[in-house]
Amino acid sequence: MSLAAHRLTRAAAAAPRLMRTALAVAAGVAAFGAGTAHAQAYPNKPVRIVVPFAAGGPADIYARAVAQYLGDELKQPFTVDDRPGGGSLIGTDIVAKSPPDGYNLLLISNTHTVNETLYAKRPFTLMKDFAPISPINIAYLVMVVNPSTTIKSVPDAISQAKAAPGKLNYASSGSGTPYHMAGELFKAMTKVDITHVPYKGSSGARTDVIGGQVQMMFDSVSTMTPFIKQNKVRGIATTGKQRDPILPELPTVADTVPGYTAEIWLGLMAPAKTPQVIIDKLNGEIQKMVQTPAIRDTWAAQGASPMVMTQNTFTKYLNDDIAKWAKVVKISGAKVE
Amino acid sequence: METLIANLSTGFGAVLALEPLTILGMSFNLPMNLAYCFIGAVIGTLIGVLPGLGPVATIAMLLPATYALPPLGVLIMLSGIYYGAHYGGSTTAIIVNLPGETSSVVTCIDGYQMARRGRAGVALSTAAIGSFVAGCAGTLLLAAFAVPLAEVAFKFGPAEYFSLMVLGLIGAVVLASGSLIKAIAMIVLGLLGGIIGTDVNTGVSRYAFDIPELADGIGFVAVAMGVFGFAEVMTNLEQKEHREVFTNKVTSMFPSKDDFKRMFAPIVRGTILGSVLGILPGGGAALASFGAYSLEKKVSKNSAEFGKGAIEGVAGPESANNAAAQTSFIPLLTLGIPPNAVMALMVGAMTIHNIQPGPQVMTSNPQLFWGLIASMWIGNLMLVILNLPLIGMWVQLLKVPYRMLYPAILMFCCIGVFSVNNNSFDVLITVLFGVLGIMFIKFASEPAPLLLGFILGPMMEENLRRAMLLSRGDPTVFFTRPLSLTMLIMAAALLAIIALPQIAKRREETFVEE
Repeated sequence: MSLAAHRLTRAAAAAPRLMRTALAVAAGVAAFGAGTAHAQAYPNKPVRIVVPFAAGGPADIYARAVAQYLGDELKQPFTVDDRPGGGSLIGTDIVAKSPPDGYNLLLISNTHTVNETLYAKRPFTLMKDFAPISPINIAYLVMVVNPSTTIKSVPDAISQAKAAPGKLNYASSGSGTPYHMAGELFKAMTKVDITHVPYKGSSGARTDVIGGQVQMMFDSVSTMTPFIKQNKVRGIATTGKQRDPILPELPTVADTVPGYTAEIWLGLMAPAKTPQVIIDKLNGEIQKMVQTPAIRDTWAAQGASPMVMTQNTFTKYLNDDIAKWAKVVKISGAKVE
Repeated sequence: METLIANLSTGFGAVLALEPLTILGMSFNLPMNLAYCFIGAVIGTLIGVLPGLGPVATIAMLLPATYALPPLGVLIMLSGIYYGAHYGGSTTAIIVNLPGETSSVVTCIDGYQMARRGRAGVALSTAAIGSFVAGCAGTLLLAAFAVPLAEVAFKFGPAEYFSLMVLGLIGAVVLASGSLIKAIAMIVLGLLGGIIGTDVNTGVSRYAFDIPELADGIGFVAVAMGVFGFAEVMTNLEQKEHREVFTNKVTSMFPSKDDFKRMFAPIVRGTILGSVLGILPGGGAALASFGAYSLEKKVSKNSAEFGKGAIEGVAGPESANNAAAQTSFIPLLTLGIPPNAVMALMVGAMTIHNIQPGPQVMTSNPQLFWGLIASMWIGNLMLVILNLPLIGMWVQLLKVPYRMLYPAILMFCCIGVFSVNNNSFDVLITVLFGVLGIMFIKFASEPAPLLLGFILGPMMEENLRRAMLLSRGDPTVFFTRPLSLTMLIMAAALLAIIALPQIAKRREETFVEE
């Protein structure tokens, strides 16, 4: 019965206003189901992880890995529910409006911390409507240029951009994405003028950098490595604090621009007021997972490394990240209505 | 040549690969892709045989169901439906004198006459042989031109893409059947619908009325299923069921030596014409078969026999429509631009699986790319085997009453649309577009240009603005880049041609004729 109630809540969250009244009764049943659930040990019914990004993308893939692990350890199915769209706002809002019972979780990335400043109008506030659970992993980016350009290093890029302000272009998979923000952060820290050219998704952007329509872009290390090896693009630098294990021959951007890092990290949040016991339990499991050697090795091959943090450290990390991107967004003038 | 063979063997490898499948607790290793190819060919033939239900509607309705399948299997199945429908369509045309598909309208003329003269079997095998030859030739063309064309595609910047799409949309207007004004109106409507949602460059949301479901625009699946699926099914219900079936006349399947001699040249001509028309934006199978029929009528020694059961009148158009069906994949797979409504649906199928159609598909998903091409060969072979001996069975299908068939289809459509995003809003949108679609049919406005406008509009705007961003606001970029200029000149030429009074009159006649 509780499974059916759970499904109905899902429908209620997505239903337009017309149907809400009809589903209110169903939601009541769901709340009742949740109430009885607390009496027993968590979890005693399937848990849903909403991924507010496209199916098949890195966020979806890692969410499925986490769901698989949690399901095996906690003996209840953890299902991944992809709700892409609206720059992650649609899926995120669904969880914001879900009951804080531990059965509705949200996969987040730095898209969420950027959105806090980027979107003037949001139906929720990240740190108020959600409780941090645990980070999952972090991956760094690589700065690539078209091989026909004369840019061979980060100093080259800076000097060419300074010599001809606004002449160079960089592509990104869309406004507000971590790839866009990596470029804006680079511009802000080096005080150069490079024009941002947004695309819908990274494959279009990649095609145009390979084809030479746009000179440079920041992209994920794992997707770009084959193109670098085939000399379709030239790798310039990676964006971590240290050299990247997948592309150890490349220097870091921070070698030239001290303090520069750009990354994509993933984490898990729950609706605010979710019982602390449940949050602690999930944090413990996920932290156990990311430190398993087998998982660590698989992720390393994909360019991602585990993030080891307690709930409190993660909360501080999120607040710092929101502040960091708020500055960059302000300088870049990017905004989404 | 060697790389071509290597590529094709990658493709055949992918199609024939064994995959484990568990049925009732037992595990089997089965060539699943071959199975998808077979399913596609069967469904295609089925809907081809049934008049009224075409490949566009079927693919639109099946899109959401493909979500759970692997991407290669999906594409193999959907393309099987597409070319399978052309085979099936000719069966109905010849035996019942009803075009199962728009592309087999002309086949009715001489095919049915052949059937009435007791040569239904010969007409059917002529159609099958012609389709098979043309299908193989079209697939070979696709395989041979894909690599060089994709190389060219990397030279395409935003300006070139924009100009190409201008050409494509004008092509869609010029080649659309029926009224010119209506075709333009439908395209504009499609363009307007396409810009709903968040603007890529500024992030401003347009026509979304603060409804979060509209922030990413109207779902393509919902529009396609509404306008084609719902509308077609509902208007078909209005028609009285009235069919005269000719099965007992199917006797000898084997064409005589003289028949072979007469069909050879039309098959070659039809294949060439169909291949060319298939690549053109807005073209496709229907146009190809019309073109081939008029061509044969002009050049044939036996032109007096046309309309009375000339074998050339079956061989030419049937080869042409199948060749066009294959070559219309070329612009989709190399440039990522759909030349007709079915290909626009294929874009939808690929995006559902997170594959952005374009030149990079060949390098990033070689198995998918070459697997699809290899499957077309296998599919064409399957269709010949499927069609000739089983004609009696297909004809039985024509006896299922629509009042049972169609409500079932509608229900599955609703389930399908819902499951794409687990969102009931999409079902409402589908119903809305279904009602719109019925109105379009009542006003005799073809909905295909709407779908093309809907898909191409946002792409066109994106590229226009990207080109302007890269040129720092200088609009001459469209004229100073040679490739872009060439395409704009071609577009202007097309416009000029259609504006000429004589041509406009001829155009009306061609489409009114048959």
